[in-house]
Amino acid sequence: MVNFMKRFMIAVIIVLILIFALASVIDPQWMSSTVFMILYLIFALSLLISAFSIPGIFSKLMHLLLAILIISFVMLRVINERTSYTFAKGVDYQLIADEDTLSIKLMNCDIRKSQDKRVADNYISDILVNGDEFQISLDQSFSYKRGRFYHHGHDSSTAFIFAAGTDSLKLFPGQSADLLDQRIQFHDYDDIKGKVAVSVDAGLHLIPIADKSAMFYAFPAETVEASILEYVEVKGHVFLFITAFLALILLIFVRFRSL
Amino acid sequence: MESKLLLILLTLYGLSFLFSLLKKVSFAQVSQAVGVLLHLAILIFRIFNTQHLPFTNIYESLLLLTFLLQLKFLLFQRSKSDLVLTIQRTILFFLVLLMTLLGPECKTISPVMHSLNSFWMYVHALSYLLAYVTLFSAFVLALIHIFSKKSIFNYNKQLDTHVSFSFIFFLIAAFSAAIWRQLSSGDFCLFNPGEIWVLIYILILSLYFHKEDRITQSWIVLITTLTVLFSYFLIIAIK
Repeated sequence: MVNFMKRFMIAVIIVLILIFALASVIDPQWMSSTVFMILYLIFALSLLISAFSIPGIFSKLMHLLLAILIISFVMLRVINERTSYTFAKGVDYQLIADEDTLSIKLMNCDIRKSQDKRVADNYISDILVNGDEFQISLDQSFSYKRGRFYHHGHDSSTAFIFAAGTDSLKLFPGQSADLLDQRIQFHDYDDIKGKVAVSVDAGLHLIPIADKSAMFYAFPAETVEASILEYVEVKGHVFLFITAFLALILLIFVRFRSL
Repeated sequence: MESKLLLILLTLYGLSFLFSLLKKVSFAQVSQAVGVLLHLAILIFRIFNTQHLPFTNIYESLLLLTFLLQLKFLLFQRSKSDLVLTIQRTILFFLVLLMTLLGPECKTISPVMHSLNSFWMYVHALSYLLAYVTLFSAFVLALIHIFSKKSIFNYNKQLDTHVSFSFIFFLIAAFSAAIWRQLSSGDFCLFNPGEIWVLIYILILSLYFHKEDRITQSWIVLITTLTVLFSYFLIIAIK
């Protein structure tokens, strides 16, 4: 049993090495895909089984901790959803953060360039949250309860007017609103295809600009400065980092005890 | 100024490597010792010029890595075998040669990006370099284990020590990068090619601890070192 588990573990590790190498070359986003999450769980499961078959209490504990670490990593990737919001300068937004509604307004945004002026070194945005002023930059997030806002990029975004019958509304990328009793979310404008990506309820549509044959149609309104902030609710990270820290300490102990 | 100093350093390490091949031990030691002092001077000169620790580009990383390697070979070494010392001097010479041959665009002084200027990022970069230092040290011993006909080691656990240190430093590098990512962007793992390859090194090295046969273990160290070198150039190509 011990030998079989050892061989199985080695086989799983070799498969992971090959697949990771392939992902790094083809598309690193594979690493966050569902198939890879299942692979991580298989690896965690084999670690868990081997924890019971290997000798030595500390080695058992280390394998157990590593399995818990991988399982909690997968859980956190699944439950902590990340959403991008585009905030146009001077516009009031209502946003739900950790079950509360926040009123957010972008007051000012700025790009700091590196010394040679070629690379954006930092993005800085001044925002009003429920009337209080805060600053968000690449090294300074804004926290509200378990919610965190991080600076993603800084852009000049074009607003689009969406029309249906006699109703119309103006949206910036990332915003959503009701039109003809349907929830529409404006994702982005693809200037190569000349189409606007919107999701209406659950479906995603690419709407050609000012093509009135569609149910909704869109045309450009104005360009404004905007900041892109990413919102994520932080759940379970402290547990993950404590487990990783304990696994690391135990590993150091196990490795150097045997030397 | 710096490029002239670099050429002198290359000559000193080249001499140390040549004397080592000719079995002129004391000459090899003297040129190596003078080389280390000059290496330190170049490092200080670079830090003074750039106003930050030297790991913002491939040239600075190699400059610091070769210095740390040299320190490791000189000060923290149990084996005093001539063969081990010759292989170490060979590796050092070729790394410094590679550093000297780098184009001027690789040696340009660039400021540390604002988001990278964090305590955890410094821990990450330093652990990464220390992992390389111990891995290269293990690589020398692994080469001898694979290709030498009889064991020359009095202390046969030296390979285990190096690999253990390397494994732990890679883990610390991955762990500190995850903390930095969590603090700066709220996502502890965004999976860029560099991060994926650190995971691959850790996985390959973990096989070392599941094998008892010295030759297989040595092959694992050899494969890890070649993977590190391969991935380094692959990541540069992807970028």
